[in-house]
Amino acid sequence: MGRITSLSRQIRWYVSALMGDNHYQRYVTHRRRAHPGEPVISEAEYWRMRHRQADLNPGARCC
Amino acid sequence: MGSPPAAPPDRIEEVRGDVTFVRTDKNLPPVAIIDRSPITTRHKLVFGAVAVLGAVAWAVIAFLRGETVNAVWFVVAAICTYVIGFRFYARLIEMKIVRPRDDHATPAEIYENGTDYMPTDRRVLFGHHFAAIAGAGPLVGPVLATQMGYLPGAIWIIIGALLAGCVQDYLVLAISTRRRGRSLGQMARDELGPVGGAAAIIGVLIIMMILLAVLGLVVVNALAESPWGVFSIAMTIPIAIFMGVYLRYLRPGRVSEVSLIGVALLLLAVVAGGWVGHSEWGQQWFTLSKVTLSWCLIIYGLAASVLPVWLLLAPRDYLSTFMKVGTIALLAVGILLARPVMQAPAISQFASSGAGPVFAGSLFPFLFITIACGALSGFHSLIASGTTPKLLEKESQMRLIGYGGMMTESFVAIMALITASILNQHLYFTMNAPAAATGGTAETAAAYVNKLGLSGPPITPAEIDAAAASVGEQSIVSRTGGAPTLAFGMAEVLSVFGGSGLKAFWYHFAIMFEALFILTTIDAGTRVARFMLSDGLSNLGGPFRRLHDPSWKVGAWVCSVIVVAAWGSILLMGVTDPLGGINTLFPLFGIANQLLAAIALTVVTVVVIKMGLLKWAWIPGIPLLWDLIVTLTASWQKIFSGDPKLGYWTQHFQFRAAQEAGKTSFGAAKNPDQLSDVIRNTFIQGTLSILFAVVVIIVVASAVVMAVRSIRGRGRPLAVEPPVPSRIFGPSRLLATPVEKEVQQQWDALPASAARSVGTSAH
Repeated sequence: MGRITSLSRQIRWYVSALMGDNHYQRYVTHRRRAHPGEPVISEAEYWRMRHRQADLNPGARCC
Repeated sequence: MGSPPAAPPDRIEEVRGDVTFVRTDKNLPPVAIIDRSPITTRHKLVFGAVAVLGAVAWAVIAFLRGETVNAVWFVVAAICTYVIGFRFYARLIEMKIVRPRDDHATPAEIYENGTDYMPTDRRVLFGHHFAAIAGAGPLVGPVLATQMGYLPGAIWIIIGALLAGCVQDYLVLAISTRRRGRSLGQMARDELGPVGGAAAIIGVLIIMMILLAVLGLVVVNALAESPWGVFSIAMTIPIAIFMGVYLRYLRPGRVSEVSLIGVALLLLAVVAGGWVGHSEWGQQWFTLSKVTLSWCLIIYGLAASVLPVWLLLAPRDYLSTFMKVGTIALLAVGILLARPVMQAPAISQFASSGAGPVFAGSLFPFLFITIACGALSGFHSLIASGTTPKLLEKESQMRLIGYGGMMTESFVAIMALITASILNQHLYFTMNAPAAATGGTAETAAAYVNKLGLSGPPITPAEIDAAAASVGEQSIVSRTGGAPTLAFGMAEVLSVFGGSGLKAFWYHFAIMFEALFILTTIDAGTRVARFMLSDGLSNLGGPFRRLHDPSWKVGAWVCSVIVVAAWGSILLMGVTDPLGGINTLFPLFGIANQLLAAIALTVVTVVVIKMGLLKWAWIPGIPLLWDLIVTLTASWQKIFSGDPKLGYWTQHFQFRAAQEAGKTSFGAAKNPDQLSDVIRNTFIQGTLSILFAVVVIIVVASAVVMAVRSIRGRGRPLAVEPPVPSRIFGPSRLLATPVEKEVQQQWDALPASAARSVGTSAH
């Protein structure tokens, strides 16, 4: 049972890291470490910022 | 790479047996492990066994005649060859050219901002990189190349990837990482000088236009006169918008959750497409001609380029990533379960005659041009520079991501080749010969393909109709472009899940999966091209300078319209081409992509020479030389060949002479309008061929000048950035070694406040 739980946890971690579910958490950790004491924007704000950046700096996709 | 061995003041080395641990801060665990342990006997035995198995599989594929070859042998041959190539050739490149320095910080670490610059776990970055490089190209190219038999295609896809495609991706990633993640265009300017750099940037822009147009053509050909397909693809737009709104206003950040909902809705759209496609109103609404569909695509491209990213582009991209990884895995499992046998010959008559109906020209050079992305793709260099370095944790992980990512793409191409080769050959040519040859009906198509001299019993019109009905289509005659053929083959393979009753579902599922890829490429590509155009124009100065500001709405609109008009007009030209769009335009697509690869390999080779590694310049030099021979021969034939099927200009002048002689029909042109269409199209195609070749010759010429200067010791200096000591750690292999695990544990034991990557590690 333990092995199945840990496998499913690994898969969930992988999918969420690949798709972006944990990107905000990553950002918060980064801000806390690099700029301690400063306020951190909310998750909705964070994604707005990400999309604004993507608007201004598009990434290519291959053929 | 070639940078002077910068020794930061507190670089501490600790040697334990064959392993050296490097620290950049005495209070932190090691940031780099240099493992010089010799290969163990167990590994020697394992790799020996893999090599023997691979050799057996290759022998079966290449020499088994008169019997049918099972598709599983291709999978075995491919995987064994990849393992050997990755362990030995990629390692050689790593040791001799790349020389990764894990004690140096990557751009992701230096500029870490928690958003676009972010050291990312290697396994996650592998997924990102693969999702960004994989598209419709490696699926479509091998399908068309099956015209020449499975053997030449299989050899080029596997060997070509190891010696050319993977090398390009890996080395471009390496040089961009050492240059703070600069793009290919910037690196060309830095390393080749202003003329070569400008030619490279203009080349990239024109090449992108032709790529988008041909990908559009593939979608249009797959969807024309197919109400089922049109309905399910059209539904992806409201689904994407729903996902965008959900993520922005309802549950920000729940990307997997909304993607799962999106995929479920997508499957529902495919099923619903069946009901709609068989209903009277559905047929009335969704049976669209090629021209109408092209206009829809053009409007869609324009909208996607100016609408905010969160509304359409980002959610589509999530869907596309999910479908890409999922469907490719499903197909691999399907092939292993179904174990189909090859129907295509090892080498067909068209390989030497050059008179194949799918695309004209003989094996050399057109096989290599047609397979394109599956073995070597210039477009990857745009991802490997710029995008991936911003997420790379450690330099030593570049082998896994750059070289390994392309190997995976090559494997996708092998699966596409298998999928096309297991089809009945008469059916394959029924679907892929242009309408000008098949006549467009089951009767004429059967008569046409039965005359081609293919192996196997002749086909009857009733069998063609039955095949179309089995996948829920009215007709499968001349459904060119590769996507319908691949979907047909995938439907056969995937019928192992759920029996032949689900064949129509799987066919439309596959069509949707390919169209989704292509639309994602088209919308992202249009946007990227718009930015490249406004960036390039703003450099001209004067009134254009305002274009430098990407949020200037008027400029964004104007540039979007220019970009969409450029690819849209080529697309319309292709769909109305009396000669059949795919067989005239696909070679141009392949040439464009391979020329982009030539530009990338040129930049890489010059950098390697400038690094003083002339002895190892053959590693990028051989694929560069081969690529130049292939593409310039193909360009030469397309420009100068006297065979009207092959040479654009010969065709152009023949049709013009016919028009001037007052003829109202000539060859495939049935009326005066079609006659002038052919004259115009061949003129544009011929001009583009010349333009591509000239751009690449300029880039290569400026590279030769740079290389010679550098060899004589008078060159421009390398544009590498000074190294910055790293303060994070990451294992370099896919599976961490015991030593790497031990160091990782030391890092994990640190309090969270210490300097360490927040990464995306599972811990």
